[in-house]
Amino acid sequence: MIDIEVGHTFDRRSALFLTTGAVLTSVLILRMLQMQVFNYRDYKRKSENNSFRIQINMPERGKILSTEGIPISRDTPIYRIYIVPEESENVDELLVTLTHDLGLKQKTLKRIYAQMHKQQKFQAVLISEHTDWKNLARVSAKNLPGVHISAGYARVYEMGESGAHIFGYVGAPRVPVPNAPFFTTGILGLEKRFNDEMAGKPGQTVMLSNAVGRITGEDEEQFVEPQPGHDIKTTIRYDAQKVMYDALSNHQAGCGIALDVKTGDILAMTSAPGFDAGKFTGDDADDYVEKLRADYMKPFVNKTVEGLFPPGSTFKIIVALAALESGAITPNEQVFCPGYWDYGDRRYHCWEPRGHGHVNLAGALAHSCDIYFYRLALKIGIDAIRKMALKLGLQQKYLSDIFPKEMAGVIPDKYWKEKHVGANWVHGDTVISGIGQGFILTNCLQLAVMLARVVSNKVVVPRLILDDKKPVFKNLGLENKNIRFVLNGLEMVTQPGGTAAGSAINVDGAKMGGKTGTSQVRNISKAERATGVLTAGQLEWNKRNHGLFVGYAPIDNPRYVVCTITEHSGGSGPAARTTAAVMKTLLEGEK
Amino acid sequence: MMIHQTRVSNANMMTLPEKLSRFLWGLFLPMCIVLGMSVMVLYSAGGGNWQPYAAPQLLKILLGFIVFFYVAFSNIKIWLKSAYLIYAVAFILIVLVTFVGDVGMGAQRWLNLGFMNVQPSEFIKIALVLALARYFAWMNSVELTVSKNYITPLMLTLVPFALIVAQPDLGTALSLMMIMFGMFYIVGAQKKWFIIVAILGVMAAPVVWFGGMHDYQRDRIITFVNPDYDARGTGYQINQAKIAFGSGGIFGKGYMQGTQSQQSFLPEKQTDFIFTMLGEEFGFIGAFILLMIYTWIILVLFWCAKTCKNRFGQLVCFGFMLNFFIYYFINISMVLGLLPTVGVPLPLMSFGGSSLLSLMFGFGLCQNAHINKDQQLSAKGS
Repeated sequence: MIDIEVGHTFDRRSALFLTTGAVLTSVLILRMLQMQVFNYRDYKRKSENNSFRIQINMPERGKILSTEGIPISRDTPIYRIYIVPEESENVDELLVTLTHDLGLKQKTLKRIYAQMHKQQKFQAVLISEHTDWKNLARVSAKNLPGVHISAGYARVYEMGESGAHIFGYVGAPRVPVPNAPFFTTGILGLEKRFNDEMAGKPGQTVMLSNAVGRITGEDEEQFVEPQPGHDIKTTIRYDAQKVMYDALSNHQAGCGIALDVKTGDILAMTSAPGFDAGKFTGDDADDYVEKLRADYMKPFVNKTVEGLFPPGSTFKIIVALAALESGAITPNEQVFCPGYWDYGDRRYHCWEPRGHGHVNLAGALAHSCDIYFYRLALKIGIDAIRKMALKLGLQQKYLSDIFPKEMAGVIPDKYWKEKHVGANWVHGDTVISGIGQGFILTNCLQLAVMLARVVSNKVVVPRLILDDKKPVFKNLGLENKNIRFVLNGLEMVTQPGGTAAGSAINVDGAKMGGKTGTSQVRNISKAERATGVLTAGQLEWNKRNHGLFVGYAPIDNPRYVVCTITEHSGGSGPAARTTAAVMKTLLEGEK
Repeated sequence: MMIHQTRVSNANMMTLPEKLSRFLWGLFLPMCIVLGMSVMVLYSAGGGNWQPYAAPQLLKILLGFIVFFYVAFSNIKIWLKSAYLIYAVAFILIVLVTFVGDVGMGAQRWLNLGFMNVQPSEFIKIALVLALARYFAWMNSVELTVSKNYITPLMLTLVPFALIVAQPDLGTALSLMMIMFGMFYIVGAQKKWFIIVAILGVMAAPVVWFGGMHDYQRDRIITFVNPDYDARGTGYQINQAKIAFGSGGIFGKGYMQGTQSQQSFLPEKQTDFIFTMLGEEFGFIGAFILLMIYTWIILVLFWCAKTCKNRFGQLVCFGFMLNFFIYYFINISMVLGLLPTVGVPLPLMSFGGSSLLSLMFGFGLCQNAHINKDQQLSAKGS
């Protein structure tokens, strides 16, 4: 038998359970009454309208702004007309009607049919993107089943080809978003990197549709307003970017970077040829993309950070500084250049076959004497050169969060050669490293950073996005007098007798110094030859040397550094002229 | 002194006809009615077909009846003796499903045995009732106020609770806790403990919210508070369910006429949301009748517990009653939008074998307890 006391507890306490049970059961009954009796009509209406159909409303995407606040990429409101094939009883007939009303071209129809063929029947097919009011009114008045009109935004790329690699573009995501046929996301560059900031929050319209799927109204309670995205402010100067791209395009292919020495702001960053992402939508999009893909000048490559080039003579700045810092030379020490130098069992040539005669450091930089730097390199050794190159920012990635394909390049030493070439480092390797050839590979951004660090004696780090903080750079720790010695040479480069005498500028007394470079074509042409058939004319182009120029201005208080690389331009002249044009724009725009 | 530990004499062993005469038709009948309703609604859920729900479920019901009758007419001491063993088996299944179970909706719940999927979290509820009943069976009123005597049953609940939370099957986990608290209260645990636990629970809520929940669970609770939060994701199901139920009105749209259910706007209509389908097709009348049959079952189970003269049988009946009530209360509240969607089936109604078989086993136990209500059981269970 049950303990009497325990039995009493059961009897006493079970009352609580019975009460609770009765209360909870009553709650359920009341809820059932509320839903099925009192609110019956409301639910019945919703049930008759049957289902929700959700339409995602895209928010206005944030703008990409230049440093002056000019919109570079922005959204513009448009009306799209699209069809959902499944909802129409006769799609062909529908398209005939639409062709008549909207004046669709044959090409457009072809695209529509191709898309319908590719997609599921319930997926939207775009008929007309930038629809004008007249056509819109005509189509909407007919209220054709299967035809939808949606207000949305289209992305406008104000800079077109000149900014495509940097600012990027938006496009359809790889995985389609349900109920949002025109959902876009950042695909490249800043549009991709800052997609979350710019995208905003989509809203929704919940439409009620009846059993046969016809829209019968809107559920206003479930409407959600889309929230626009935030703007992104870049360091790019609109004017300089334009000028740089136009100048580069004149030389067909190349890339350039303009830096603000004080802040590391990237004022211009272009890669030519570019592409116009605005042409990626529409009927001609496929042809356009195909053309770009086939272009041997590689418009899709962002050459500023993805293109690796031997720095050529621009590297002499580094060799000179390394030598001065190590105390291996004094600036006035002279070297005799007869146009060649025999070392070991090889003869090394100067670019000037007649020779430069007796040259000191400044003269060797101004005239870009190879013999001087061959011998200097050998004197101080590859390790000292490499140390200085790394200190000045070479073989380093700066913007790989924005440009994942950024390449670090190569600043070699004996370990590197053993590992990657499988051979011992020989003196000859050091000799040609002195003029920036051999295994050395850099990109355009690195060379600009290099010169910015030299002229400022600060660890300049480039940036592409403006924020409120003014960057503070650490001291680089080079002897100011050594920098002065090198700059003395660089100032002479643009003066009569210098290698870029034709590119001198003078904006209210502000002059430019710099260094020319020509780099022998190795990697790029090899790669391109391997990729396919090239005509004789192209091969010719491909064989020509790259021209480089890194410049800074004004010479007495350097504020800007511009590095330009013109691919296969033969000499450095086009690069120097491009740099000069950009520098002029930068200096003039200050006023 | 344990005066209640008298041995059961063989003279008290009953023959089958004796047992039959004590069979509680008042408990058997409502069970059968609900099972009948289940098959009927599942037939409609299949669009007026025996496949894919009604026929397989009927098969499971037949299997359930075998379990039921076997358990009901077996010797009650078998269940007394094997209470912990059954608990252990259910517990091992829980451990297995936690680590090798199939994942659904971010939760590990099914154990694929090849020929069928088992949901061990359904079994553990009955097993826990059995184990707790066995544990408290011979404690006197003094022992029942000693706090250390509650440590073992607390662990029996908390360990599977933790595993099930990790699965994460919040509905079952909370059911276990409620069963435990209910059992503790009815056997006579001190009231102040419940107050302390309640305070601790309120304090722990933010920690659970931010640290211990899956995104989908948080979503469900946010959706519950504000169904418009995500009308096409988590909110869709509950919105559609409410429309289905509400549009049933007083008399319903008629058998196999539920537009929401028949046109597939109602997800999970055969499992967790079967009550809404009943409500849509049979209206308030149908839903109310089912609720009253459930209440009937609860009252009969309570009466069984109250009249049972041995403590084990009493606690089994009471524990099962708690379990059964929690089952349908959570499910109905959930589909009517009174509680967040936690994934608890409607007892005897929802499609699925694990829940059905464990419930039939439970009904068998209670029948058995009632048939043997005058038996006295010794501590050794011999």
